[in-house]
Amino acid sequence: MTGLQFAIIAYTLSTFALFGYALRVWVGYRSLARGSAEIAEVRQGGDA
Amino acid sequence: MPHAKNFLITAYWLTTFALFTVALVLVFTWTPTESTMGDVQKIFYLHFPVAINTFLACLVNFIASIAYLWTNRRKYDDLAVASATVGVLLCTIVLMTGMIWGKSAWGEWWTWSPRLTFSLLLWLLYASYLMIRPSIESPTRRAMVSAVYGVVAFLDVPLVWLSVRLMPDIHPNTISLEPKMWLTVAAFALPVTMLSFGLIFARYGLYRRENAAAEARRLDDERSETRHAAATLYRQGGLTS
Repeated sequence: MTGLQFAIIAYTLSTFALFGYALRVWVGYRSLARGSAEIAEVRQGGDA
Repeated sequence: MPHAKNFLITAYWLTTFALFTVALVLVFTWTPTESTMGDVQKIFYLHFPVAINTFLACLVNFIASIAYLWTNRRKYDDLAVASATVGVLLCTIVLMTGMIWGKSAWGEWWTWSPRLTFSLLLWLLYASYLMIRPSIESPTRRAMVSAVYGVVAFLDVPLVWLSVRLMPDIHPNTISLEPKMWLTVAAFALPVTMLSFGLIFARYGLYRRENAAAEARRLDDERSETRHAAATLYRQGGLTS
């Protein structure tokens, strides 16, 4: 393998790791918001 | 106000992504190839800023751990664990890019030189930090143990930094680069730092919200249990109103 190929592999893996983790955190926020909305809906239903 | 905050957060992440893309393009199209090592030296432009940010994430963990020990406030424990998570991610990238570089430059994936060994130890210390936490049930005790561990684990950071200066090592110590190469280092340092701190604070915010949601669920359960117990007592004639 050439040096350029090694460099491309290193950059690809690192980029996926960094932005993959950012995506995971974003998904965490989304699912938490969805969960909170569902709880609020259930509470509203219960109160009514 | 929430709209303005959301706009700022979106702008921050879009800017980070754009700067990262520009830096990537610079590395492969504009930066000159190093004469001794050739193209594989291009890994340095990412490896170096990520290594510096690993140290910064560990420093945030260290400061947050001390702040927790000082104040016993839960938010500092959340900040400590968020920075440890990002620190492990960054340290993984440092080790991975270093190994790929080593394979091309030295002909082997790994060698037990002081810098590499202390870097692996750093990864192990913070990975253990994250693995130990779920085994402690009480949140207060977990935060206390983690804070003490975080302070002790940080001692490895100066060892990683000083190892190449104090001991004979295959890892390069001083770097001489052309001005264009330093510009590329700076071009990568900015988005990597923005990304690291963005991730630490995003993860911190998520921990805060998860804890708040868990606390609300716990209170809800307690309230419904009390209501259930009161209803049972009422049915049995134990309560008159």
